[in-house]
Amino acid sequence: MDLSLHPHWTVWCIVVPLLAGGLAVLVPRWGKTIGLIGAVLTLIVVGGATLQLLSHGPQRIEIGSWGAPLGIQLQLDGPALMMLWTTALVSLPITVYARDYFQTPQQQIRFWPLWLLLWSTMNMLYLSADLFNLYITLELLSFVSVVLVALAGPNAVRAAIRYLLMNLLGSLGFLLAVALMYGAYGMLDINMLAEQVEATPLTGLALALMSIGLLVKSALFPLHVWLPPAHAGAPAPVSAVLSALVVKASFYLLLLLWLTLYSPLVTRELTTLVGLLGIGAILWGSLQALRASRLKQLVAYSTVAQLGYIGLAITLIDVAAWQPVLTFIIAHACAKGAMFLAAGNFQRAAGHDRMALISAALRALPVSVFAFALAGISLIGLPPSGGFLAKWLLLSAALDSGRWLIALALVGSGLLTALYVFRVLERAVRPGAALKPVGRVSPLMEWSALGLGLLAILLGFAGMWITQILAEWPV
Amino acid sequence: MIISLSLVLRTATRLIMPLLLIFSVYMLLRGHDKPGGGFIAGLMAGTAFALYAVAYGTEAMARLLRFEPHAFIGGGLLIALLGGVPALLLGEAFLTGLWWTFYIGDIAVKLSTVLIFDIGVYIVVLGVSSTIVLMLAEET
Repeated sequence: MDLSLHPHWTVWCIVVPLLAGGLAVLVPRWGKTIGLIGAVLTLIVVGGATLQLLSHGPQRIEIGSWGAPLGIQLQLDGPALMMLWTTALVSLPITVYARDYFQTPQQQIRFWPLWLLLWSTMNMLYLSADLFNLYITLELLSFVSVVLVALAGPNAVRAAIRYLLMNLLGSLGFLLAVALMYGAYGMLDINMLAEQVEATPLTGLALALMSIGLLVKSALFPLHVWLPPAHAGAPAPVSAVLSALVVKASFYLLLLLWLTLYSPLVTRELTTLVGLLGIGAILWGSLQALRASRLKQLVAYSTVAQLGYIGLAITLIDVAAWQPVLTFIIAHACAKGAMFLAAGNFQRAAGHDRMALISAALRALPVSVFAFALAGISLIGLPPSGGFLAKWLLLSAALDSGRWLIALALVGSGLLTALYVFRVLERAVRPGAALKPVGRVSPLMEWSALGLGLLAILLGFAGMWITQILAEWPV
Repeated sequence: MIISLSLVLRTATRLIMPLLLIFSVYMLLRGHDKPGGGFIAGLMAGTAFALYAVAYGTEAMARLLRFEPHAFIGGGLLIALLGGVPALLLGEAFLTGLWWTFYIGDIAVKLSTVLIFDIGVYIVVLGVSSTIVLMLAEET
């Protein structure tokens, strides 16, 4: 089969946002317009890539027509396509939101090029099939995210620097592992390496370094310390992107490497360890979310807890592989995006996000509260939401393989999630004085949050589609 | 940054800067299969502008650049990406080098899409290094 047939769409998924980003640097005045057009065009080319996958099967593209050991390859398969779609669907409402969120021209000028570059980098990460190129995408991802966090102003600089240092540590681990692999096998292409990898101590060391590096970047407990201040301190649309997509990108990469490259070395013990960390994350994250004194902090700790589920899901990769993890990633991306956008609306209206005083803002913005509640339903895992679907898949995989502890943790943690979601929602029905709005929340800001919330619910009905795509075009 | 009072430096800069710029273009053009290329050449051009900033001050340098350094970064990125597009239109993989040879008398002139990419890199690097120079000068 000719794999390089019609490779255009896949490349455009990376090039379109990058081109738009370049244009946004060149003509900063039109940043808002370029951002929106770029977002819509990216969605269209992702659609094109889907058609391409449907008609021609998995794609492999040799950039610049240089073959695998020498050049860099892009690869489009089922999981990559799911991630492309998730990114596009979550990013579009965030783009709409950000157009009204950033008020000073200074922020606008800086946000749009960085945002489009971030999108392009994420797409490159999903599509890349070359270890070193993956390192570059990881590094770009952290650098761009750090600057985006720092856009919030002088108060966020501390959090941004901490984010930068932790993520540099993660990248360093990944880079060392890439160097070890290159030294041992003399190639960087994932598919070629996968055929060669043997369970030697050196490969084991590379696996350990790479996994730790990626776990730092995906903020799995107890390596999560950088996440809450950064995600809570960033501007709302940036928090949404970081929590919904950026941490998932490194989880996706971890899963990809474990399932393909290192599959001979990934043992039950290793996945169990990650699962235990996952349980720790759920408990610790939920506890901190219950204690949080600020709304965005609560949502950020909820991310720490929810990332624990991905850790749990990883223990099941030997029986269920991609499907539960990816479904969970997608469901959480939509829900957390909606939550952060809604939280941003409350913060904008009230001028702060202190839990003790937020209830007036909640009462004033019913649409955002609705969005927050929909996202909460998906996080708790009530039917028919996407979160329910993901948990159902996890639960049935856990029960089928007789891992009761995981099943128990899954069910119990839903209750913990419900506690901190209702801690917010309860404040919306408290009586009290009307809000004196500090900042204006435009209708589009409310509706884009609601759009993401609805998406999180509707995802529950897309289960068949996800199953089909993953079954038909595995990695 | 203070404008240098050294007459020697200012006069020398007027001579050296054009040489540096011409040499950077030479490096850009020869870079395909010899040492050189867009990145090195862009750094060299950046050095030329940095030298001008030392001799005549950053304001004069910013005037000489004509556009904001950011515009160089964005524009260069666009040009570099556009260098990959002709291959797409011909059904090849993105960024595949396409060559076009023509003759002036007996001399073969080879132009390629790789050159477009390299020019883009040159402009980006020039923009980045100028940004750094201007920002460092602001700090002091």
